Amino acid sequence: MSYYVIGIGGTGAKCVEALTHLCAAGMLPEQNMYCLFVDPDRANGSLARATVTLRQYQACHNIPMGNREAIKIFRTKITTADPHVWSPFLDKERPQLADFFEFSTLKTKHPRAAQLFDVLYSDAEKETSLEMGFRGHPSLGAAIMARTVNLGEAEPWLTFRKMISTDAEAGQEAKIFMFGSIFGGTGASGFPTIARLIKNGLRAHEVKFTKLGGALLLPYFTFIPSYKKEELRAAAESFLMNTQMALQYYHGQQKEHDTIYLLGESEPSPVRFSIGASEQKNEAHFIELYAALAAYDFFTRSDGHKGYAMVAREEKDKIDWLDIPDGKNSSIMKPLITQLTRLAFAYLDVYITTLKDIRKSGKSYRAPWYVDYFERNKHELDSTMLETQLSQMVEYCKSFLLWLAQIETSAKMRKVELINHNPFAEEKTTEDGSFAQLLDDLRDNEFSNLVYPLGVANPKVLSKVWENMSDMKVRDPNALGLGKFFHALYKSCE
Amino acid sequence: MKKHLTKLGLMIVVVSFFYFFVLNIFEVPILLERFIFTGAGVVLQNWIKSFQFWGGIGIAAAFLASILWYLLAQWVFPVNNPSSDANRRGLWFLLGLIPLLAVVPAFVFTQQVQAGTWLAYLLYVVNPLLCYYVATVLFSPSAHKYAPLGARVLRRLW
Repeated sequence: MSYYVIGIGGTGAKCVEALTHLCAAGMLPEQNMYCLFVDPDRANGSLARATVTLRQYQACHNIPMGNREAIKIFRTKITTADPHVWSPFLDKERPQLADFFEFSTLKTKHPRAAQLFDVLYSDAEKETSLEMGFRGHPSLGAAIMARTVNLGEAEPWLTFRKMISTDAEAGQEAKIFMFGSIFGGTGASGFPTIARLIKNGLRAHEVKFTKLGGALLLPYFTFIPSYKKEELRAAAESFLMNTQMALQYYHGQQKEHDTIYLLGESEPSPVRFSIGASEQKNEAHFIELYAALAAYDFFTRSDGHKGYAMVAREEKDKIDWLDIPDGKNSSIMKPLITQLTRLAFAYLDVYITTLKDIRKSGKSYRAPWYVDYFERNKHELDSTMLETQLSQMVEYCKSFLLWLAQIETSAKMRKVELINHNPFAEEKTTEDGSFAQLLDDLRDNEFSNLVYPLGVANPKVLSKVWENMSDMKVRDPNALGLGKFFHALYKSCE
Repeated sequence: MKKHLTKLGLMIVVVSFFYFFVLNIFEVPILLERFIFTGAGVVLQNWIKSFQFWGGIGIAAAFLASILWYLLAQWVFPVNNPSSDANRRGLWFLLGLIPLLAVVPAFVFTQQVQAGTWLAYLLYVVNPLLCYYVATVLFSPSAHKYAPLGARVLRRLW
């Protein structure tokens, strides 16, 4: 059985990023996961960040750390589509709706159709360049996507369909999960349209044994006004109206999904407005973590949901571990996230710096784990491959810690008490608002207090990890090379 | 804690081995009784008793140094900050001076004999140093297990 994930638009990409981090922590089983992004704005900053995180994940997945049942981190094999981002505009520069439907030809050849087109779309909608997305207008996206998604011909949809067919032929159920926002442009238009096209496409190719699920994100952020008013754009003031209309549509007409998870937030977080491209890079939000947990629920649940399931939290203005809907009162997610957080912190704060120091000045006897996992296995720190793998893990750990810090801080009206970000990140305030950034010097004496609820900081915990690392013997035959080191570090961070 | 008690216990085994086996069973009857010529006025048995006493003091000093090394490295100087805490080789060398200093009174109070005094002096130095070395190379705290010189090679054989 394989999992298929489609992130639609900027919000969809951010949810895929959240799911990637859950996979990194070992939440999902050792399965194949095929991942595809849908976005007309390929330069979208959120999409770029999700793509980078996926690449970092894949690099870490390739380090053989041992038996994936024992060492759960990075165990899900995530494959990205080729091309990993699908855009309905292909490589067209400055695409416009009018060009897309050949409006000028339509006017001469089918004047009635052109008149209908005029009724449905304003001049601004017809003529605005859409390379940065559908600008909060789902009617544009729906029309364009309905014409372009084709499971039988173009990549990456062709491979997507073939993989699902292969699963079906082997009698395995393929589970497809989509992420998108209900209130913007790309997500709102792509979510129902792509679902319908996928279902139709699979039906046309007689592919059975598939389940389609999705997480729809209701408005959870609002814009700090800084835009030019005349521009065609996603307008925060229309989010609720759009959402209401869309929900009515889903309730009455959208029957393609087997399961839909609706997620929202009554106190939207303020974010800086951007039309799109690299500037559209909003911080991670705890709702995206919930969306990723929805995917986790969908993928791991053997029976379907019956009726309407709801999640609630104990306190209105606070989110803590007991509110995490992982099916077992956070007893699945909490230890896994905790262990990965500790690993990331310890690796960045202590181990990578020690490795750099040994490379520079020798004296490897200072770090017994270095002698055991590197020196005795003849892994030279000068080797390009080793250096690359070590730095890929550094990059992933930084992404993960920053993501955690953003989850903690981005909901300005809520207190999120999952991971204590203060030992590794701080909130920086600029004219664009406040955002989290990693500290240059991590506060290692707070290592024992990385997870809520907080206790009295024990500065000796990090030295205990060092001791465990020095003591441990990795006998797992599947742990090879650098993997032995990460195996030991993961176990030491339990 | 069990791990630490085991290692400390094994250190005691090493020290006991040096005192009972090396010093009393091997060195005294096999080396000293053959190579020492006391000459007139010094009874060999008395001289050997004195040697055993001062040799024992040296090994006791080695034991003290080994235990001190373990306690300091494990609990007083744990590796909280690797850039400053991880290198404890200097401390290990410093503690190695304890058994070496214990040799000084042995040199002073051991009676001169006609031939073979050099052997006694050599054993006074070698026994405690070797005892300290073996105990710390094999049973140092995990975080500093390669701090003793040559530990990387010897522990691999071990």
